[in-house]
Amino acid sequence: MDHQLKRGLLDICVLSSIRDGESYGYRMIRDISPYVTISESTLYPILRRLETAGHLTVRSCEHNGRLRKYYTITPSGLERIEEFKREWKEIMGIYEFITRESEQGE
Amino acid sequence: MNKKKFLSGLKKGLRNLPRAERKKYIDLYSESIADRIEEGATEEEAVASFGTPTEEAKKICGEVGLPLSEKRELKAWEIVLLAVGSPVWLSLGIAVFAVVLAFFIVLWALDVVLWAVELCFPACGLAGLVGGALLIINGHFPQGLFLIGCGLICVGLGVFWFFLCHIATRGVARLTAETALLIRGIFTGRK
Repeated sequence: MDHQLKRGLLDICVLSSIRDGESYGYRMIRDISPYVTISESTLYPILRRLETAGHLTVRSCEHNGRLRKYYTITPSGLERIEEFKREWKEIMGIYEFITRESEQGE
Repeated sequence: MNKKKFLSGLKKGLRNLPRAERKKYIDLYSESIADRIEEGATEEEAVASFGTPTEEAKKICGEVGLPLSEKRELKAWEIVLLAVGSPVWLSLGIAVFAVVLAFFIVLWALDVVLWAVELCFPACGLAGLVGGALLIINGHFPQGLFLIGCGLICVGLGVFWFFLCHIATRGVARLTAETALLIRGIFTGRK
C-alpha cells in the first residue's frame, strides 16, 4: 500500500483498537495485524504522536512484577474516528468517480 | 541475540533522539519482549520477531523524522592500525595544534600592542595640554597654542584609537571562541 495512505489509516486503526477499552502495545499489534501490517517500530511512533495530539492517554500499571503501559482513548480521539468516517464517505465518492471513469473508457 | 544486546543496540541507534523519548522507546520494546515471553516465546524468539536493532532504530527515526545515528564500533584491526600509526598522526596533530596556538598568541600580542598604543594618546595629550599651557603662561603664545593643538589632536586620536582597539579585540575574541568550539566539535564528533 502507498506509504502515505497507510500512515494516515494506521493512526485511525490504532485509535480504533482502543475505542472500546484500554489496551497495551503488544495486544494492539495482534489486534491490528490481521487487517494491516504493523510492527513495534511503526506502532510506537504513532502512539507517541497520538498522545501528543491528546487523542489518547497513557498509564503505567504493574503486571507480573513489571510495568506495562496501557493506552486509553480520549473524547478527542473518539471525535477523530468519527471525523475519519465522515472523510471516508467523501473518499467513497471519489472511488466511484475513478472506477466509473475507467469503465466508460473501455 | 538476547534482550540486553538488542536494547543496547537500539539505544545506540536512537542516539539522536532526546533522552526522554529514547527511554520511552526502549521501555516499549522491553515491554513487548516481555509480553511475547509471557505468551510462551523464548527471549531469543521474542527478539527475533523484530528486525535488527539498527533496522528498528532506522524505522523509528524515519517515522519521527530524524537522521539515524551511525556510530559503529571500531574493529580490532582498526584499533591496531590507529595504535601503530600513532607516532605519525599524533605528532602531526601536535604540530598543527602548535601552529594554531602560535597564530592566536600572535593575534593576541598584536591586540595588546594596540592597547599599549592607546595608552600613549591620553599621556601625550595631557603632556601637550599642560606643556602648552605652561608656554602660554611664560609668554610663548604661538608655541603654547601649537602644543595645546597637538595635545588636543592626541586626545582625539586616542578616542578614535579606542574604538579601533575595541573592534579588534572583539574580533579576535570571537575568532578564538569559534576556533575553540570547532576544535571541541572535532573531538566530540558533533557539528
